[in-house]
Amino acid sequence: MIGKQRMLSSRQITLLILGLGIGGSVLTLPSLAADVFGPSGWLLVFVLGLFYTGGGWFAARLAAKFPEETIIEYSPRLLGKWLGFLFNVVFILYLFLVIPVNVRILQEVVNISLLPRAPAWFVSGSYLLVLIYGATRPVDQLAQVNELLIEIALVIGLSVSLGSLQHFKPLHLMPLFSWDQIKLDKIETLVGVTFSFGSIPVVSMVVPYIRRPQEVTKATVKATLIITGVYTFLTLSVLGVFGYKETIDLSWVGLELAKSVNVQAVILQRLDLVLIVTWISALFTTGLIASFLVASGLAQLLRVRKGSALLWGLVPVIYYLSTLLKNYFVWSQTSFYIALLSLVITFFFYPLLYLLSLWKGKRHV
Amino acid sequence: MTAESKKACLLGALLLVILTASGCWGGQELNARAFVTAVAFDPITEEGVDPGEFLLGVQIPIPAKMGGGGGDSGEQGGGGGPPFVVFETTTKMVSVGIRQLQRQLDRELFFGHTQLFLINAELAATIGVDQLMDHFKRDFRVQRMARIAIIDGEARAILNTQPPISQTPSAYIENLLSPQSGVGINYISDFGRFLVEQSDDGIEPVLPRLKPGKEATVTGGAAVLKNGKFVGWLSNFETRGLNIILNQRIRSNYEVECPLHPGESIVVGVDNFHSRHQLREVNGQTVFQIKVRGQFETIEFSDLHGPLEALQGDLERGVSAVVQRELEQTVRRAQELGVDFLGVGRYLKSYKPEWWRQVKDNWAEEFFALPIEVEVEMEWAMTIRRFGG
Amino acid sequence: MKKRTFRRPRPVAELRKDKAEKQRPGEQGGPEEGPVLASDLAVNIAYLKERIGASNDVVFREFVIPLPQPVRAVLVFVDGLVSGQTINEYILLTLTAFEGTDADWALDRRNLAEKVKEHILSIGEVSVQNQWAPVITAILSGESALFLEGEDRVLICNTRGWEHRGIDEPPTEAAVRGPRVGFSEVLRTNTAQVRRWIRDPDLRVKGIKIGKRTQTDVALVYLESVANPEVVAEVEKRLNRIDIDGVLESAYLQEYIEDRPYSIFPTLQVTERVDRVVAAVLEGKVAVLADNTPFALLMPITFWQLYYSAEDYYHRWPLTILIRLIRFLAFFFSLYLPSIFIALAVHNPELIPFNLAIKIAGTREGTPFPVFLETLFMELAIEILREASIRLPGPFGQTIGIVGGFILGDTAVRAGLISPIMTIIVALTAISSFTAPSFGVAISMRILRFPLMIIGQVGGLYGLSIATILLLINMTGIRSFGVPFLSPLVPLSFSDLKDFLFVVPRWAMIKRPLVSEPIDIRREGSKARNWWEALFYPPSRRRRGGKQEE
Repeated sequence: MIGKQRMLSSRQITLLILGLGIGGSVLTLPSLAADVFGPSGWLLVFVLGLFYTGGGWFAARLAAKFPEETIIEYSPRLLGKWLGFLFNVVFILYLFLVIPVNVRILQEVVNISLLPRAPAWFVSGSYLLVLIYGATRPVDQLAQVNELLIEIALVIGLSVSLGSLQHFKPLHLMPLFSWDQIKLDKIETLVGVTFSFGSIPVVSMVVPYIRRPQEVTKATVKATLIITGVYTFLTLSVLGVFGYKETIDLSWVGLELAKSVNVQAVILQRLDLVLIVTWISALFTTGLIASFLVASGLAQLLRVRKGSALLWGLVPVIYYLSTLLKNYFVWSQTSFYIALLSLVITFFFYPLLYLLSLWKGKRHV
Repeated sequence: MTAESKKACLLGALLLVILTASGCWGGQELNARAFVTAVAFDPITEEGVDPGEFLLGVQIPIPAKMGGGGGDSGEQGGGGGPPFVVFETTTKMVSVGIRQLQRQLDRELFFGHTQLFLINAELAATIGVDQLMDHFKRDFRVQRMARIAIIDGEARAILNTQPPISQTPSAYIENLLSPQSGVGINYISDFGRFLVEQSDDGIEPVLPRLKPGKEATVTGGAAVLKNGKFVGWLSNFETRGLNIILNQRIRSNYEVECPLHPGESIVVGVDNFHSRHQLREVNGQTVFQIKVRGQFETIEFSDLHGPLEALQGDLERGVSAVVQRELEQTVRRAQELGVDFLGVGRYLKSYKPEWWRQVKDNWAEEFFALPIEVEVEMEWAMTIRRFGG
Repeated sequence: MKKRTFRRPRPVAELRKDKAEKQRPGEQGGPEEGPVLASDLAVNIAYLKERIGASNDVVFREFVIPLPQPVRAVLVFVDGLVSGQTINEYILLTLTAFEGTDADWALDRRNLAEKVKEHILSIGEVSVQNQWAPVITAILSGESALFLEGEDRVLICNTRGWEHRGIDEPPTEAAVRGPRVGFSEVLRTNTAQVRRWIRDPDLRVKGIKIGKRTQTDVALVYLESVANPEVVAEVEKRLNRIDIDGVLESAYLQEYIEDRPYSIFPTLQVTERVDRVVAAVLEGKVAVLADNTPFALLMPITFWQLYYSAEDYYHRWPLTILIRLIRFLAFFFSLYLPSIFIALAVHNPELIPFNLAIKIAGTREGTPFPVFLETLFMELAIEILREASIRLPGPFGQTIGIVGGFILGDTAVRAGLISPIMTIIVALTAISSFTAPSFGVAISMRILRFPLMIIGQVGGLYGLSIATILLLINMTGIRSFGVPFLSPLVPLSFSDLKDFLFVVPRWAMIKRPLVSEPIDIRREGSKARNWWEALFYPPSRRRRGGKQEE
């Protein structure tokens, strides 16, 4: 075990969940939501957020039942040895797959905006190095980094969406519910939307570090509600500014939103690049926390003392995977599978494990 | 822990090595770039050319002439000639044209600061604004806040005129296009807004119209687009009507006949227009109703001013009638052209989605047949400064 | 109390000591096992002469004390370190002119040293020693040793008194408002100054001698009932581990007891202002003062405290807020301005407003160097100028500043070698870096600026933001004696935000900064004022109300 010292406050847990959740997928979330739900895409985001808050509640209750252990340790006891192992593999695989997609999103965003001619290996390579370096730090340091970065990103992101409201047209959000614009058959996109929400697994891994484990439920619910609020607000403002058709046409809607903010007499001409620069930190926290969780999860699964060495070993694999995603379509495809994993974990395994823990707990008493 | 610090140092050094070894990616000195401030599209007038070809012109300011060396730059500033150059080429595709232009230039064309896209009306009718702007739509560096206008005349002429006060035509035009007079369309002059309106169902975008003159360029009026192609102009007054219908916050002046003294006129300044749209059943037929309310203020009397109290009712009715005539003219023009730039379709889509689904496929005809009613109610704000003449 | 965990690298001293112990076990003897004095005066003097050698500043004054049986005595002291007046009046005069031929106590020669001390010597601080090591140290640090015939113990009299500087206003930390005293080079004077400010019996001044050869006095100053005992113990432990031949300045200690020996940031605060040390001690920090230097070390600290100045607390709070905001803006400028300029000019000119961009391009037209090299040259030139103006004596220093900054810059611009915008940027950066109240952190920023410039050139804004994240990861890992370096920002502590960028009025700072985890948290006994009273019932109104009632 990596030194189990309880030094995280419940506020830091909330921010860790935010940090893993809010990242690159936010930039594309509104257009996916609009694709499925038309002008009422924000409602979809809102409702999904509420669902995930429910999932988060289960996860947090489960975690609070085992305040000394991570899910990797207690899942074999609840599910049986082999099923538990399988679950752990799925769990770690999910977190692991987030990393290459994250690296890839960063590289795409940087390459279309900040450094159009920089080679991909340079951008993703330097990012990956710093990412893994950060992820091998102790957990309290990680929480501090995350705390700082995610707050900056959120403040800038929200002020950009607030600024864009000058172009907001309520008419763009109408009609509120028109069945012909809701395309539930686009199941892949629908699942893709949930990619942005899969941040709950943090809870099951960091409970041993929390100062007061009984507060974890509150922190988790708070975090998922904040995520829901942020996403809904963002989707709402994107749809209101662009209208849903233009929203679907744009690939990085979040950035385009920043581009359309018209602030006169500022030192910097364009806000979109400012947004990107700060959004790099939001992307970074996602990768950082995912890498950390993979490292500590793998270390526990394989009974290795140093997870950081494992992580450094995985660097080439992550880099290779991130280059495998050939283009936008391929990686949105990948995010579909990742989101599927997160759906299964959140809405199948967590309730199941929770019920099992209730049952087994009673039997022991 | 010392080992950890060492690792941090090592990583930092490694990063530094990577960074330095890799050179600077795509980095380019400011002076190695040619900032394009304006782009103009014109048709080719010669006979026998491919109708798909057009003239692409870019305007590039000369930094040394514009920037100047500060206080003691007497030898630079007055170097003669305009502070910009214009390059042209003929092409069928914009990006190909840019590459052709690049061959004449020692500096890389840079569109991150492009403030103006000027499209000749004729070209906009044949090739279409959509196709011309497609390249710029996909370039991340082009700003969504760049301005776009349809030119009644030669677009190049605007690039080449030295404006009366500002340093470059682009700065001049940009200021000209910002909302001032009320007779120019202003809600859509920027590129991002154009794209949004363009993609939206049930509304066709209009673009501001510019007319190049010998000395100065004049703004006013608007160009109507249908499916991205130019179909006709709106006059100054029709444009003003459109601004009112679409709830743009404009201020404008109207000249009305004095109800008490026939033959005399009163100029009123109107403010605070507010328009509401709704569907109404009249005799079993659905009517699209545009309700406009506004406040005006008398700002000039031609000769006799009459007692103000007696004037009120008649003047309010008079102004309402004038505004209503203008709005009806705008609506008629829209129906004549068969282009729904009023946003009637968008209204239906939002509030009567069932109906919209039935009519959207042949909306042009449906729009022509749809009765549209305009109702105007103007109030005299009466913040009087002077009672007497 | 919460469990405090010290996550810190093992100081170099510890490693060295381990090694030393492994190599030569047993040789590190404490003073207890050292050689002791003989009872023969001649032998003692011979030993001492051999130990000290042919140093002619050591004076051996032989004389006879007129006791019933006259006693031969030798007074040993170092000329220049002692006060001649004290020696003459209170030792030599009292001893030689002692009219004690009939003193009964002197008949018995046993314990003569004690008796001389009790009956004759009219000097304040006298101790009796019988081991050589402390005796020699005492002599070398300005005390006088009185050797008596037939006595194996020696009397050590405090006769210290040497030439030293008076108490001046510290030149490196001048303030508009506040006391104009700083520390001087004499440890005793310094601790006395602290004592004069804090008349609390809980104030502890613990002395340690460090330096095998210099035997420098070092003092730990803290408030027993406020400072966290674990921090005090840790500081003491680290100081005791130091094994070095000499301590010339507190910087020697600093490098040994710092948490992160490899970090570019200082994790201790260095100051020569008395009020600053006193304020820190009152907040529950530990101060380390060393002899021969006016610079004291304060610990634990946070990064932000390096950017606070003592004066911040003497102005009214609205002004302090403004000053701090400006200082942090200047901090940002001094670190990032050149690199951001490079990144924007080279990679993302679309971020610069058009009119400015074309202006910059216009002024750069025809200059021979790329932006990066130009910035680098100018920054280097400024650094050279800065160094030169410090080295030159006062008036010359100012001249070189003007000559270098103004003439060189202006001529270079006129000659078209560099662009005017560059001089603005470089000058702004340099001026910004002077606002840092702490010299140590200003140096860190100056060093970091150069790699950031390279990164800005290569990676643009992306590179800068990645570098910033790397920097943040590094900084969050730093702890100063258990205190996270970036607190109270991360981990967020609402209570401590009262004294951060925005400060609250003094009467609202009820608690001490919690980051250093003081034992006694409250700074004010009761609420002298609370904010709603101050807002709604200001004293003026209350008084008027009272008068009306009369």
